[in-house]
Parts: sequence; C-alpha cells; structure tokens
Amino acid sequence: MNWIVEGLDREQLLDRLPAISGPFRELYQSVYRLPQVAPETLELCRLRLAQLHHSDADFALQEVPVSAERRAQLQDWPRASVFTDEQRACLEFTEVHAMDCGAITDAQADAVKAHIGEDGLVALLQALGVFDGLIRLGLLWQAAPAGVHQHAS
Amino acid sequence: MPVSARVQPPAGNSGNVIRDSALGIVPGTLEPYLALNAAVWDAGPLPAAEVELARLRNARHTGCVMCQAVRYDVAINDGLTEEKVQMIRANEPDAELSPRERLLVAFVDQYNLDPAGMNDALRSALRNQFSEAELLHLSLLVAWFNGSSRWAACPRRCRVWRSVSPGESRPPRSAGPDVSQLTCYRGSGRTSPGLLLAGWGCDTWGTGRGRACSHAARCAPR
Repeated sequence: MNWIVEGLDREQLLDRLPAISGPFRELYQSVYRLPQVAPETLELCRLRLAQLHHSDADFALQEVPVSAERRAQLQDWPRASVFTDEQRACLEFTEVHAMDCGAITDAQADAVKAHIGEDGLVALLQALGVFDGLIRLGLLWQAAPAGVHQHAS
Repeated sequence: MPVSARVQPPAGNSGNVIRDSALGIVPGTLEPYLALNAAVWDAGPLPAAEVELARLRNARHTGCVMCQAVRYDVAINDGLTEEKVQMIRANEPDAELSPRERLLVAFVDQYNLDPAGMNDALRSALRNQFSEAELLHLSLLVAWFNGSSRWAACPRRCRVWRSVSPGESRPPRSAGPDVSQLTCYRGSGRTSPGLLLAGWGCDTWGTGRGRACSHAARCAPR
C-alpha cells in the first residue's frame, strides 16, 4: 500500500504530477520505439532489472510481448539456449550496469556495440536508466504498476 | 596513454550541451530527454536549491565526477551556497542542515541504497515535512537524476563512454569544484537551466570532446 496517497497504484500516483510525470512517461515510452534496439530485447532487460530488484510486480508487468519460454528462463539466461547473441550481450551489460555501472568493461560495451552499434549502446543506457527509475519508484512508494498485484509492504 | 571513447558524440555543434553529447546520436529520445530535464527544474513545487541538493546527493551515490562538478544557475540564484553543498558531502549529513534538508538527503539515500526498505518513521517524517506534490517531485527528480547520472559522461566510476587509462590524472573523488573558477554555460539553443561548470573536470571528464568546457570558456565568468 503506497504511503503518499493511499489506494493509488503507481500510474495513478504519477498522474498526480503530470507536468513532470508526462515527460518521464514520454521518455520511457520512446525507448520502445527506437530503431536501435529490438523492443523484445529491451523488455528482457527491464524484466531482468525487475528480478534483480526483487520486484515481482514489475516482473509481472508486460510492456511488449516476450515469449513465455524466454521469460521463464530469464533468471538463468547465461545457461539458457533460447536467447540470441544480441540479447545475451544486452543482458550481461544490464546486470553489470545495475550492480555497479563503474564495473562495465570495454569488452562488455564492445559486445553490445557489435550487435547494435554505438547508438544502440546509448539507447540501451537510456532505457536502463528509466526502467531502473520506475522500478525503484514503485518499490519506494510501495505502489505497484496498474493492474498488477501490490508490492509487499 | 591514449584514451578511446566508447561512444562518439554527433559531428554537429548545436551549442546545446545535451544535444552535442553522445546522447545526441539517439534522436528518438533527445526531445523527451530535454523536456524532462527542463520539467524537473521548472515544473515542480520544490525550489531549485532543494532540487540541486537532491541532485548532488544522488551524484555522490553514483560517483559521477561530472555530475558533482557542475552547479545549475537556477539553484545558485535560488540561494544555494557551496557551504550548504559541503554539508551533504559526508556520509552523515551535517547537523547544521535543516530538518527538511536532512529528510531530503535521507530520501535520496533510501532511493539509492534500499528503495524497498523505507521504515515507517521516515515515511511519517516525510509526509509531515513535504506536501504530496513535493514528495512526487522529489521522487521523480531523483529517479531522473539517478538514471541520467548513470549514463552521463562519468568515466571515473560509470565508465560508460570511455575507458580510463591507468595513471591518468584526474581530480580526487572527494574534491569539490573550485567555485572561483565557475563559469556559466550559455550555449545557444539552451532548453534547460544553465550549467555552471567547474574549472576542472569537463575537458577530461566531460562529454566526449569537452564541448561543454569549450562553450563555458567563451562565457564571461560570473
């Protein structure tokens, strides 16, 4: 149950300050329209961030379709065979970025660029920033995404 | 030892520090990025000095040298002093901070360290000190600055844009900017509040080609 305005989900809370949440949402939505990174790849990265943050509500959310098989095997992606090389490079980058962005190696950045280019790397970074931000806000507010069960309080 | 950038900024020179950074090579997010950056400064109820305190406390968590080295002119104009900034640099914020400022710092720390773990006492104190709109503004600005700080040109810790060579000279992490050398970024086409750039840092640690510093150098010192 969120502690700022009782009874509201995360989207309803965002709606209370549209002058800022509007541009935030536009940035969030714009990353899925970028030509540099496949929407499913971005969604896998968002879902992996949700796992790392232990946010069941954000993992339950679906922004773009992801195959059930990939979703089920995401936690064990290094050993799973259902992911493409591009997805694997982006997932590895996502994990290090989430835990310590200073620990990203040239090899990890190069692996991403080899698949999606320099502009793809920048696009991925921007996406990770807004994904991580929205997940953290949900956890901080104790407010789940609309239509998804509440964060445990 | 030569340093290679991981990402090159666009070839043009618009005069806007964001457009001319590596972010400019992804035009699909550029306008939303600029709009959000302007909104967190201009469209919320918190005064600019408090926005800047929260931004700088966040930058301390991400370890972004560039983010810690700049000041926004609107915050300075709102009364933010370097003495106040120094009060939030330590692990434990200075006792001379106001109760409201200490809560602001606590909120930023919670966001960075354990967003799911806020206790009832802190929630209650925040609700008593800040309005609903202020809490939402604080939340969104921290989310924004945290994300942008991670992708910013901060090779010291967030070595996203380029590698750092062993032995390369760089400012100590704990050092603040020399305020006597602050210059005002007034590039043409500016769509967000002005950046005040520290005298050190940006050419080496900035946006790929040091354009921010080049612009600043042409501006009259404040």
